[in-house]
Amino acid sequence: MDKELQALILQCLVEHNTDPATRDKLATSITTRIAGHSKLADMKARLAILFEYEKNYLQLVKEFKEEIKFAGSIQEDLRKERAKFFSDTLKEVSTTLQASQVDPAVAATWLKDLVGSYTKSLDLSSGLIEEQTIDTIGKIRDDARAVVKDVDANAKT
Amino acid sequence: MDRESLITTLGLLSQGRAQLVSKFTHQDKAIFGDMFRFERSPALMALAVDRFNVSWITHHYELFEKLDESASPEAAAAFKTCVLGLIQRLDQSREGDLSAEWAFVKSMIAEKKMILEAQFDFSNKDDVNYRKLVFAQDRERALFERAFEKAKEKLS
Repeated sequence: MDKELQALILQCLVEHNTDPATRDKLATSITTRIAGHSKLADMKARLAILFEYEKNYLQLVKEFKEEIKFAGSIQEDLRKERAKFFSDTLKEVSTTLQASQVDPAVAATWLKDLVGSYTKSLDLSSGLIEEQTIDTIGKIRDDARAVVKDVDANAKT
Repeated sequence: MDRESLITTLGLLSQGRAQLVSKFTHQDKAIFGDMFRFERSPALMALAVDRFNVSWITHHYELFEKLDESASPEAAAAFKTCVLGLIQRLDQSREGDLSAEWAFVKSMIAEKKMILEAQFDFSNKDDVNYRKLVFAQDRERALFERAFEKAKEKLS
């Protein structure tokens, strides 16, 4: 309980010649009510700021929804292509080489090189997607920082 | 990079990979011919693999040439970086190989790198550049044939 506030209220009650028998109880009761009220007001103000943050973050997510979806879908496509290459394509190429009666050692040399070239191209694609994702994250982060600044500035005024 | 440029660049790389695989699945006459012709000589086979790789990398420029003029310079720059990345893989594929064949391939790679570095430019996209590349390919074919002959002589 706020002792200072209680003392002030008590002083007021003395100045207004209230009944000394109930003065202390009255001062305690008024102090408790005022404190409760100011706590609620404080909480309301905090909640309003929090709500403002959340609202702006949700707006940000909405704004970047398409970008996030796009990055996710191209990454997924590439992941699927890589998996398909190792599970199906290589098998198909190997079968073709066998069916053509290419010497197994020769087939192994060409297959090894095919894997090297194919995966390098996939890695380069993956690198481009990563760059794009990092760019998008950077943009979201910058906008989020701006949101925090705006909400803080509004809360101070 | 903007979304359109990324899609364009990824599309070109994907077409390059599709072409690579189709050479095997469709039993390309040139590479399957090499597989049988040089099956008893690993040195000549390595040279054939390198020739195939150099030609595959060049194919990327042909894909780029087919792009619409509206494609962004950003896409061109990103794709060029990727093609140079493919060249780098090839360049580093046989570190420590001191053979004359590999020395020849290294010189071809260096030349290819130089030509392609100057090619991926929309402002510079015209017939003269394309003819330069076609000429370089013809020259490359002839030089590879010469290298094959030299290597064969050395082996016999």
